[in-house]
Amino acid sequence: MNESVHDLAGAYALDALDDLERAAFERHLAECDSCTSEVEAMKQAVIAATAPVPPPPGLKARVMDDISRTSQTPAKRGGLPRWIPIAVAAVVAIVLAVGGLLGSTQRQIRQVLAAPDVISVPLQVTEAGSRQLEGVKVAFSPEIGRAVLVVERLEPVAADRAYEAWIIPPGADPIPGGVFVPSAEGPHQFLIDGEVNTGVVVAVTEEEAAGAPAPAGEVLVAGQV
Amino acid sequence: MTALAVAFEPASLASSRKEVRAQGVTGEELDAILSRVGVGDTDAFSALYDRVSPVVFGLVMRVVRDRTIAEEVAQEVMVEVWRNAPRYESSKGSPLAWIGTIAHRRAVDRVRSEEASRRRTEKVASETQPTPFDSVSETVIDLQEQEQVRIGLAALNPSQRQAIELAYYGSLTYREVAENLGVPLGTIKTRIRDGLLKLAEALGAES
Repeated sequence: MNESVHDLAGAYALDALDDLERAAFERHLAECDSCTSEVEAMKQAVIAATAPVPPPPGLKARVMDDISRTSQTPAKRGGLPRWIPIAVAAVVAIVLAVGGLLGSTQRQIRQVLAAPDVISVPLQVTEAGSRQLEGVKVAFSPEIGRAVLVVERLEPVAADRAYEAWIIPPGADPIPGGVFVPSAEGPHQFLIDGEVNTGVVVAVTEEEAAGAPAPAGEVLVAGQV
Repeated sequence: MTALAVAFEPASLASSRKEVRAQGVTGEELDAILSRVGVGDTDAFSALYDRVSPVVFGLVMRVVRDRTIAEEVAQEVMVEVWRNAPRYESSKGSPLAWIGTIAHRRAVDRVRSEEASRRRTEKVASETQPTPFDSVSETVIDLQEQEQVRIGLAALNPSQRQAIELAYYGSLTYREVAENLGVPLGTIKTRIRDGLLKLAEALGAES
């Protein structure tokens, strides 16, 4: 690839390449910053030079109706949530099949992460926890009242075990915050199941797969939001 | 009526964050609206629709040249914007360029699927007049923006303008444009690229 590839930036910006050339140019774009900014500037220019035309009034209603029945594709790092709340195997199968539940969990995770007041609170990993977890933070939105556990490295557990999150309000007993196991790749994001408010402690233990009503395992991670 | 203006940082193509205004909304605001759409906010989508649907419809109309088909395609475009909003990344480009790309590609796909390439080339050749790059309606674009677009137009020579028009609104590939005009490939590539760079720079010039 040489000079001539950059010359295609204009044609690419106008969608005037055939499929083969387009694929080749997109590979080139992945490693050429100047072509990438050129293409962006050209696209903006040509959009700006196109006169807007008010669409027919009925169009909006049709569009709003369509989208009410259209799901959104998850962001690239999303897809299936990396943390799937598991109770028992049968429930897992149903959850995966339904899909919609996963979608809404993923949406809630994104809402928290994108909230304007979101804060990131690192949690302390205990000595017991250090063998299994690394780089643990809580992304917390006080306004939404939800939090997402973000873990960089998480060791798998035995088939009959799972990690469990806990919400511990000041002076109160720990409240179960959902069970999870790592999926193949990290970093992992897990929506803590329950309301999280400023001043609570978030903790993680390892329990049996269905989760425990009160922590039985050692505390692996803890911190106050 | 809606108005569209693009103001780039002066002559700086290295930066990918450009300020775009649509109906007085800045690029950052469109960005924020689009991220809310990305988490499923339908009110945000309604606001986004109000701001961008005229650009989408205008563009699609120019490409498909049929009002009924344009309505269908514009509807599909807006639904696709909704569906893929979670995948929009502002670091990769501006909201309008992202949306415009969806709109243009859908419109072009529609045209290409409706006509054979040879028929299309012949049709466009017979329809090509030395029209200005775009018909800017005074009721739609305010004076300052109109001036900016005019500067952009004035910066292009007729052959650049024609090549861009055929490729963009005529949905021809650049090879087809070259064939259509009987001009070498390299020449067309250069006309398109130089023309677009000039247009981008002209629209970015501070007045």
